[in-house]
Amino acid sequence: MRPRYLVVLFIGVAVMLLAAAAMAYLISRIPFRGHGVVLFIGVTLLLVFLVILIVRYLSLMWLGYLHHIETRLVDPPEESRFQPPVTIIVPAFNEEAVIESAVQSLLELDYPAYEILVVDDGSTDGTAARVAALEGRYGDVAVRLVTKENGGKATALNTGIALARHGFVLCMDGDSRLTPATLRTAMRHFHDPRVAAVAGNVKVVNRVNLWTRLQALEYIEGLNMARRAQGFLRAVNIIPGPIGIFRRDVLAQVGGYDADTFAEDADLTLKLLTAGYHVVFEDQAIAYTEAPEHLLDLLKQRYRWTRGILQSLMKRKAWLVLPKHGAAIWASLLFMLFEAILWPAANILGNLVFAVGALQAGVAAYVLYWWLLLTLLDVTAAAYTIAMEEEDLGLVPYAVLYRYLFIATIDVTKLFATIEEFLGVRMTWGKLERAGRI
Amino acid sequence: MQLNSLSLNTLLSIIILVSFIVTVVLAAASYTAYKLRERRRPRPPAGAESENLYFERYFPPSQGEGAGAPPA
Repeated sequence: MRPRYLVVLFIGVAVMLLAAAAMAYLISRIPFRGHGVVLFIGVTLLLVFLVILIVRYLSLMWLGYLHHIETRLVDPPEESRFQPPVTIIVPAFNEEAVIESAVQSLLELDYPAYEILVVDDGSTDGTAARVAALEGRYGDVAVRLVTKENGGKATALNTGIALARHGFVLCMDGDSRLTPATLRTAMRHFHDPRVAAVAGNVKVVNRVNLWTRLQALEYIEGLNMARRAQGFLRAVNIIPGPIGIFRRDVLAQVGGYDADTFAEDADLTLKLLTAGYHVVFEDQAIAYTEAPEHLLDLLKQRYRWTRGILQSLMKRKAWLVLPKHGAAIWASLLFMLFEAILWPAANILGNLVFAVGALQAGVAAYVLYWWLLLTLLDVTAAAYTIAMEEEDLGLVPYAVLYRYLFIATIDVTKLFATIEEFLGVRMTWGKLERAGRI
Repeated sequence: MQLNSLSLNTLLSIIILVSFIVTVVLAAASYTAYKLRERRRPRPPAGAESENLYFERYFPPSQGEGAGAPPA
């Protein structure tokens, strides 16, 4: 299995370099002389876009592969004996329909000792009653319920952290589902005292239509590829809301979750990194989550993510200027800023500039080649990351639609969200509509 | 009508270009629809907030993070 990954990586790198060379050749063939300075600037911008695109892909793939070698060969999960007791915190707000099955699934974890602490965040339905009926001991596992006034997810998690009985806490969403091996594989990283948190691997469970399948691909190719690379540097910049495991004393030290941003998970991660701790990624610590099934719900989610990430970054502007605790954290923060603002703009403008430039120069057919090469890059990256996670190969064809349909649509919302954040437009949390498929 | 390879390439290129522009326009329209939907959503009465509202922008403290010392 492992040599195959290496072969896939080298094939992927070779394909990407060839594609990059072909794209550079295409750009150089556009006869911009005599078409004015605008086209010249456009072609120059395209070359910059191309270089960034290729460097991004190659560096993420290479660092991701190094992470894979490190976690599977150097430190295999099955050999870990580090299994201290853990408190699993489940924040719940009006989760009556799913909370029972959520607690039941947590009782099936392959881990020796843990407690499940459900924090009812002022639900107005029967959530608390349903959990109360489950309270008690199940072998070495305890189920507890805490109820509080509604204050949002961050305050619910802070309540859970304060009332946790163990030195490690797993924070998740009320509608997430963990696999039996999730806790065991994640906890092994804490034998290193510098590791404050482990980011788990989030997967889309409801792959029922085009948008959710594209999101399933995005979680693997887009989010996890970056998280894996950051994991090798021990500087993961967003511990996902559906699955994050923390040292409780470190959370107390940094003050837990703040409620002043719309991305409390990203904000807490940056607090840990800027306090000098390591944050790692464990791809076997899987949490299934329900992705938005409708376009407007998807845009609502991405709007909140983008503004929340920007709010978290703006709280730490000084860290963006110069590295304070090493290049890895600095690079991770810059990458966050780049992905939130610069990349969406570059992606849309780059494609438009190439198309318009090619049309203006009378070589419209180049648009086809440009699209084919970009799609080749995306399909290669999708195949590589899906193979690495041993995921559903049926998602690979969706890479054809990934950039020009899915990413373009998301990037437009990211651009608007960025503008509104800097204009200070008011926003509210709201609650995403779930189909209840978990 | 038979298309030669060059005109076929041009045709496909135009389809890709138009599709991309239409996608961007539809994405902007969808964003507008999302904002309209949020605006039309019933708001809670004053003093009875049923959700966590975000009222103020965060301004970092002047003395830096103070988030604790890094581990040894």
